[in-house]
Amino acid sequence: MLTILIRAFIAAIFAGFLCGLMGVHITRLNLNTVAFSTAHAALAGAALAMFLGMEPSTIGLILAILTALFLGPLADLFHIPFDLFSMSLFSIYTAFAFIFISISPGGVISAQAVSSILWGSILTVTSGYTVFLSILFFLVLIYIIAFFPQLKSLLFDSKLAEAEGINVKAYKYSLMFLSGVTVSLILKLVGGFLVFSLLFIPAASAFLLSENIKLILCFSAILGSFSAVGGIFLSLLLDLPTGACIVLMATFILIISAVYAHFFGRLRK
Amino acid sequence: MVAQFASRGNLRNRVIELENVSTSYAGELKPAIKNISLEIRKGEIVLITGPNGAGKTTLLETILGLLKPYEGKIKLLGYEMPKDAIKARKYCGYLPQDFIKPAGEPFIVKDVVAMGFASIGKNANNGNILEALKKVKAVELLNKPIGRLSAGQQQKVLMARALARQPKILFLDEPFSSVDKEARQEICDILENLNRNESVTILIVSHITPKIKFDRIIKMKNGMVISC
Repeated sequence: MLTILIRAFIAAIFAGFLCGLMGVHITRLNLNTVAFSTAHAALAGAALAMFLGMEPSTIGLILAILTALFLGPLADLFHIPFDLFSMSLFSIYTAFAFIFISISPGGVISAQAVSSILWGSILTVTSGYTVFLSILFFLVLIYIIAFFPQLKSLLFDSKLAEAEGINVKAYKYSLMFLSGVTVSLILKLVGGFLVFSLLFIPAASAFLLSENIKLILCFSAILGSFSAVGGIFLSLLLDLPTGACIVLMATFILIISAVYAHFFGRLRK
Repeated sequence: MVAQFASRGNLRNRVIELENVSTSYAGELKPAIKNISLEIRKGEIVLITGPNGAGKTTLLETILGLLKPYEGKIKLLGYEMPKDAIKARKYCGYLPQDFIKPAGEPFIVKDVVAMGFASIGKNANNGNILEALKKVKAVELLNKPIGRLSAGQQQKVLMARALARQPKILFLDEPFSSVDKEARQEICDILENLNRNESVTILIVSHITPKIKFDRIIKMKNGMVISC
C-alpha cells in the first residue's frame, strides 16, 4: 500500500507540473480544445479495445497520441479552423465510444472498465506509468528551455512571430502533440472529466499572480503539482474520489490567488 | 544565402517582385487582390494607399507569405514566396495593423523587443535592446508592461523590435492609425533616418499620407493597383 501511495505522489508531482506548463501554452495559443479531443480519443480507444477484447488503456493511449499528432496537420490540410475540427473529433470519438460500449460483449462490464478512464484512480499508477510520466516531464522541460525564446514570441503574438520567420506551425504542432500526450497519460490518474481542470485552473491562478510569462510558467507548474499532491492527500483523508479532490484543491488555490491579486496586485519580476 | 542575395541584389537591385499575383481568403471565391505585378527596389520608401477594402493589407501579407496567392509569382529578397517564406522573413521587420495589447498582458517591453532576436539567431542583451529602444526614443519604457502603454507607445516598442532585427525591408501596416500628430512625425523621422543611413527598403500601408518623402506611391482600389 505504501509503495502505491509513494508512486501516486511522485506521479502527481510530475502530472501537476506537466499540466501546469502545458496549460499556460494552450491557453495563450487558444488550443484548449486539443485537451477535449485527445481525452475522448482515449475513451473511444478504450471502448474499441473492450469490443476487440484487448487492453483498454494501451489502445486508448495510442489513439489519443495519434490524435494529438495529426490534429493540427489535418486541420490545416482541410482548411478547417482548428477548434472546429478538434470539437468535431471530440463528438465523433464520443459517438464511437458509446457504440463500442453498446456492442461489446458484456456491455455493463465494458462500461465500467471504460468509466475508469473517466474517473481516474491512484490504484492504476504502476511503476511503468511513473517512469513514462517522468520521461515526458523531462522531455517537456528540455523542449521549453531549449526553445523558450521562440515559444515566448509565439505566446506574445503568433502572427508577428510568423512574420518574423519563426516556424509557427512546427511549434504549434509540437505543443499540441505534447499537450495531447500529457492529457492522455494523466487521464489514468485524474480521469477524463477532471483532467481539464488540472490543465486550466493552475494556469488561471498563475495568470492572476504575475505579469511575467516566465513566472507564470513557474507558478502554474508549481501550483499544478501542489494541487495534484494536495488533492490525493485530501482524497485519502476524506475517502473521496481523487480527481474531484485535485480539482477542489486547485480551486482553493485559485481563490487564494484571486484574493492575493486583488489586494497586492500581480508580480512583475 | 545572404551573399547569394547580395550578388543578385546588386545585379538587379529588386527586393520585391510580383508577377500577376491574385489572392483570396479561405472560403471566398472573390479575389481580395487580383493580377498585381510590381517591383520594388532596394532603398525605396513606398506608400501603398487606397480606401478601406482596397486590398492594401492583403497585398502586404501576401508579399510576406502570410497569405498564399492562388495565382502568380512572388520573390522577396530573391527568395520564392511562400515556399521560402521562413528564410526570407528573417531579413524583414513587420508592424501589424491595429496592434494593441490589453492591460494584463504578461510581457514587459524588454521581453517584447528581445523577441525580435528569436528568429535571427542573435542573442538579446540589455545593450542591443536599449540601442533599439533609443532609435525610437523609448528607453524609459524598458521595464514597463506592454499592456499598460498607450497605442502610440506600443507602436514605438514594436518599431524598436523590428529595428533590433536590422532588417533589409520594413513592412508597416497602418503605423500612423492610432498615434497623434506628434508621434506620427516622430515615426516619419525615424523611418527617414533608417532609410538614409542604412538603406532599408520601407513599405508602408496607410490610408493617410504622412509627411515623408516617398519614392513611390501605389494606389489601390477593389483589389487592383490603379496607379504605381
